[in-house]
Amino acid sequence: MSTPDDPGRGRFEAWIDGAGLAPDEPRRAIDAVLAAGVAPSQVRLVVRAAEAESAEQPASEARGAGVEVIDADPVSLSERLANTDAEFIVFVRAGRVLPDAFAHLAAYFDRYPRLSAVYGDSTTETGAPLLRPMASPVRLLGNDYLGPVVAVRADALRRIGGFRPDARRSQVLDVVLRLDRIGAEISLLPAMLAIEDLHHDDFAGTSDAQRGVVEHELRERGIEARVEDVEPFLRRVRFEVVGDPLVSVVIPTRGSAAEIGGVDRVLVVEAARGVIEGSTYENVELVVVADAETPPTVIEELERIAGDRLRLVLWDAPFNFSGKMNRGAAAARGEYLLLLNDDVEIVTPDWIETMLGIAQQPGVGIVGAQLYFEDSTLQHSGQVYTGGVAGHAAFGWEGGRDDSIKSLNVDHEVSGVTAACALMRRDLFLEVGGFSLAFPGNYNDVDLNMKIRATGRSAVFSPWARLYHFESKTRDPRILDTDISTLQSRWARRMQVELYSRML
Amino acid sequence: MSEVRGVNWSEGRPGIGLTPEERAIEQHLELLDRVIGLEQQVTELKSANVLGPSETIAVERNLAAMRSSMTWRAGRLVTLPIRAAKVVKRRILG
Repeated sequence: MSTPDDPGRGRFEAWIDGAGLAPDEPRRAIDAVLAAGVAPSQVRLVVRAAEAESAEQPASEARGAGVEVIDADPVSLSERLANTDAEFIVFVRAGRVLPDAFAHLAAYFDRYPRLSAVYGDSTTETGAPLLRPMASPVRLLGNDYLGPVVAVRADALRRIGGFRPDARRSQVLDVVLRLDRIGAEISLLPAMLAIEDLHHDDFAGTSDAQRGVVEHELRERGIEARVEDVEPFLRRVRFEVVGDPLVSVVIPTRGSAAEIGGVDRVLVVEAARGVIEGSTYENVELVVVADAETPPTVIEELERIAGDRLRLVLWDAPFNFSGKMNRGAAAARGEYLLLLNDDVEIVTPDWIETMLGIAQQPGVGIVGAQLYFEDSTLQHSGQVYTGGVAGHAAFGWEGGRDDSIKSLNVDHEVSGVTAACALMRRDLFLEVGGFSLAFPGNYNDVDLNMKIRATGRSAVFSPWARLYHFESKTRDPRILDTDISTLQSRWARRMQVELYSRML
Repeated sequence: MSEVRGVNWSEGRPGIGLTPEERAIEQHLELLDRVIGLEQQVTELKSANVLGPSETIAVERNLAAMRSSMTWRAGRLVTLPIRAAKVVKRRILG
């Protein structure tokens, strides 16, 4: 295994992307690679013929340093790939590698030979960390989060046929998406590999190229979806709902009322009204699991709102959220379950389509929404698991705030999602044993997420499905010692480090 | 909306309980969760690594960072006599 003193000479070829770089940046990138122990004969500066004039000086400097300059044309790249003896191609994009980057990569690939592609963390020029998420296929469609250093096994690149002509200016994203499609393992190396030159403007037309690559990939996978630009380098993928599956919205309630925005309201009635009258998806049934003491007037109002789309189920035992939700799931007829608390208000009418479209993607197990407190600060943007306990990402952040890798504007994989609003297939719910009765009030959703992820499926958060969640109005926030000890007895070792929401 | 507590909304209403099939599903969920829960507890007790590559590296780095911290080093120093006494005791008493 390589060590930091032995950066695996000859095993790597570094391809530095010259697109959109200022005149002095290619030289700095080359110097950084050479300083990391890579021989000049193993370094390539990739420039575009169309930019030959502006690239003249960097190309000349590169040649002076003994570095070959190659054309970004896919044919030239594939030709170079065919002729290389290197084990790995390391793509360097808008950044400078750190001195031990190649040694870290060599050690990681040696330890896990099954990996096909590896990316890592970086810092800004001022040293602020840019921590990247663990491999996230859904997120990759919306945002090329891979950062300035992406290492790919040369034989894996050859296996997928090298570089695709239509992927000009977005070859790395295209390669990683295609590797993901064939089931190759792509992995985050949680170590600083580079200093990133952050470009917020799209000088090289990369954003359009990325959208084209994503659209091509979706077609190749047979996925019906529309790709919309959110901002440069950031896209929303609207997955079309396949078919018209029945969604069972399971709501537990005891018919409580509360003052919201200065107005008294019966929470479950407003939630039901939102589902039936305030949502654009129509094929829903409402499964309300109501405590015996729920006021009859509340039940009558629910019947008036939902009509024959309402299934009422009695809960006449001591409080147990898990038990109530399991009972609702047992009574549900839908192909999908939408687990919903009664103290919510829907903001985006197409929330069900948004969540359902994601839930229908391969490998996705459960989908969560963005939830706001009454004062519009964030209550839920995915869960974070660390040190054997769980919390919420971006908890209490004001609306509009985001992290430096735009996590709150892109669908992305998370450690878990809250069951206050979560959508999943009913057969998966049954497969994993639903909610555990061992968690009557807290952490039942954490346990459910972990059970789903243990099957190899993912939890995905969508910022495009938005609701208010008036949680403090109804919930007793006390966490019992037994909640934590039971959770940790099942999952403690797998809840030690948070690698999805690292910047929130 | 006025609340009339103490009145059970379910009285006289048909179809608000589970059918036998639905009841069986509810019981199946409970049983299956117990089995999965026990399986996961066993997995937690196994010595084999249950983490993926990224998580393994992250945990190792966290551990290394903790062990190089001043707090850890000070703690090792403070507990040195106790640890030494334990070694001596083990060697003498077996």
